[in-house]
Amino acid sequence: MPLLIPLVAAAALIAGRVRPGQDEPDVHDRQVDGLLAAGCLVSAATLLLLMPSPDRTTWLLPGALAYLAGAAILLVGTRTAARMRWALLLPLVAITGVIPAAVVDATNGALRAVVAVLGRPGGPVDAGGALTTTYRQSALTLTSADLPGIAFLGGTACLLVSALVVFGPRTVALRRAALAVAVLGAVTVGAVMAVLLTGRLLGPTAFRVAEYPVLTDVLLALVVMILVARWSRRAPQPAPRTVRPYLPRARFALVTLVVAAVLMGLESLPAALALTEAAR
Amino acid sequence: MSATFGVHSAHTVLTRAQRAGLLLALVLIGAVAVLRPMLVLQTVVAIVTLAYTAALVFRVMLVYAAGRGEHQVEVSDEEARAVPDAELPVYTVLVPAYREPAVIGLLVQHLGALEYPREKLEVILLLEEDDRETIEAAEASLNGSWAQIMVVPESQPKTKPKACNAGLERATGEFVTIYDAEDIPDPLQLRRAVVALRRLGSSYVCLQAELGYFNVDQNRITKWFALEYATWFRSLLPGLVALRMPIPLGGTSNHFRAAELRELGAWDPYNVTEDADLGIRLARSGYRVGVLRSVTLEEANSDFINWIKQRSRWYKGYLMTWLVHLRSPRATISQLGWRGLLCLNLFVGGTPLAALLNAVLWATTILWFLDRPAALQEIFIAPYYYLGLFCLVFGNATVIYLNVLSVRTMDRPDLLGTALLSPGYWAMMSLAGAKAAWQLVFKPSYWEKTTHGLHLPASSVTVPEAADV
Repeated sequence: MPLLIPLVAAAALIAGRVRPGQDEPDVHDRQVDGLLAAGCLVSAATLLLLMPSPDRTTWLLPGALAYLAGAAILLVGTRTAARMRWALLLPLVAITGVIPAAVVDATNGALRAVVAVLGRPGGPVDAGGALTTTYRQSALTLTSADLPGIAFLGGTACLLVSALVVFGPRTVALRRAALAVAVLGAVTVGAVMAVLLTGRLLGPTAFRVAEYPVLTDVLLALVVMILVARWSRRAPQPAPRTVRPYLPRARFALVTLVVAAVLMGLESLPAALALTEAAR
Repeated sequence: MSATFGVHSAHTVLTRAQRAGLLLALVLIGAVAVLRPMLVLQTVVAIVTLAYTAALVFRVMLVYAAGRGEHQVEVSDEEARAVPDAELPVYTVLVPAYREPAVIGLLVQHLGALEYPREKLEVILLLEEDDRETIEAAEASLNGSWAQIMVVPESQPKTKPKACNAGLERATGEFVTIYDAEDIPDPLQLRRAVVALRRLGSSYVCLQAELGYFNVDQNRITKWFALEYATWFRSLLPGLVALRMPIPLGGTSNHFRAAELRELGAWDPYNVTEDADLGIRLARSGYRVGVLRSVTLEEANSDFINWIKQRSRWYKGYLMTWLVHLRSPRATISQLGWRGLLCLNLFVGGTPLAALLNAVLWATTILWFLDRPAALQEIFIAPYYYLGLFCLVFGNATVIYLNVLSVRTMDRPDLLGTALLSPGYWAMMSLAGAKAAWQLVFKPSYWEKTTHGLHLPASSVTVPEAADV
């Protein structure tokens, strides 16, 4: 599920950018698309297949980036891919796992503290790095690993990137992002409290179901999607000109890309597994 | 028209003899590559390195020559205005346009500013028969003005040079020039050209005016473009003049003696850089070309894809021109001399080839730094490796220095950062070079139309479709 929030944010951003803007020239060229995509895909193949050991995992991220860029250009054209470049990069936020463990721990610690303060009348206790509530004298514990700190941080990263994409590097982007992160934080705290309340009211079985991370992830993804979709809505133009949405025919390219992805994936699988192992 | 040009028409990119020679060379290289692949790779690297070094030295020579003395023809405002109207000849201005209704309205405003007697100014707007939109826009904006509209009948090839040839047939002027619809020429340019051509004598049949841009600050691409043109017109072209070499003409603002232009057969309708080709043909015929100190402001291409399309057409045309004029090497040497031959190979052929090869060489360099494959070490044998290293360090530094020099000549210190970021522009050039090479093989006469008016508000721009021959 770590891809859910970035994918949803990317989808919301793309949905708001499917149609070209008023100031975007309607100039396209399949030869330019083909040449750029060929360059990107050859780079990806070189990085993933030819780069030597000992540390092949180093090449996975640039290789994935080059493949993603090449595939996007080939499938939707250079201009459209450029318009959606940040949206397409969002899933990589999750893939790269750039959030350090210390930050995740600190976030979970903050979440525990806030939930303990806000839920004090009901009684969740922050003890020994876990949140504990009770149901008929039996203790129900939400450990640090069960808290959605990483999902919150991923969502925050997506909101920051999306705000930059939609509003540009301006103060308004920072303001909107700060507000959105506050909303996301409130929803995250609310979700944790809801899990604890479910356990307190309905017992251990309901508590086990409610603490599945997927539920919180879906909730946070929904919040991110709504916020990004609201930002992405373009302001009505005074005198819109006829803008031709450009989508090249790329069925052959799609088949080729899937085959290439499978082949390169198989080739780089051992390195990816090593990376996952190292992350653990 | 190809009959007029004979062997020097781009109607056929490669003649039978050229094709046979190329095929034979490829077979021989292939055969040796099977037996001694490393030898072939080493030879290719050696030839490419030598060619790069030669092109680099040639550029430095041009800039050095340009810096020694004044090589632009200068006509002061007083001299230009001193010619009485009665002594001015009829001047024909050809304005070819295709699918450009947005900018056609600017024509009256821009050409209306020319200081030339109306009764002696013949402006012919050349429009294609199938381009109803531009014809209607032109009829609306030129109604009652001094400009004429000439509708060029539908026929192949549908190219700018074919339209210009049609316009030249109707032209009555003693002198002829070409402007694009969005061009803003120096108001005294026609008078200056008359004075200069009369002063220089009959051996000069053409003057190329300097081109500049009115939208330099639109974005990074326009800034790079402006610096490149400044280098071209203030360092390289004066260098070619100083060394008495052929001048590849620019697309607009070249001023001809009409009679000699007709005698030469005018523009090759099949060549997509008919202007550069005409410059070489002028030199082959023993005529001289000067560079006039008078600026025409154009629209710098501000869009990445549009820029690639335009530049790939230029590169393809340069490659065509190079191949066309190498068809009869003996005649070329006798007509152009060794200086002309140098210019033809290192400037006309060398520019697009260098752009194309740059991408391969940069990729090789990056690969070396990332992985240090043993095969690469073997390909670059010592003398050529050091020569290549010299080109990498000194060559790149020289080109960046030329751009910095243009910052100085343009008196635009704010463009210094843009000059230092030139490698980004070179990457775009490489992409255009690859596109040009691809099209030269598969679509040689395809005219990659450039969209104009991208500096205007979005609502007024329509995008043309390319013309295929």
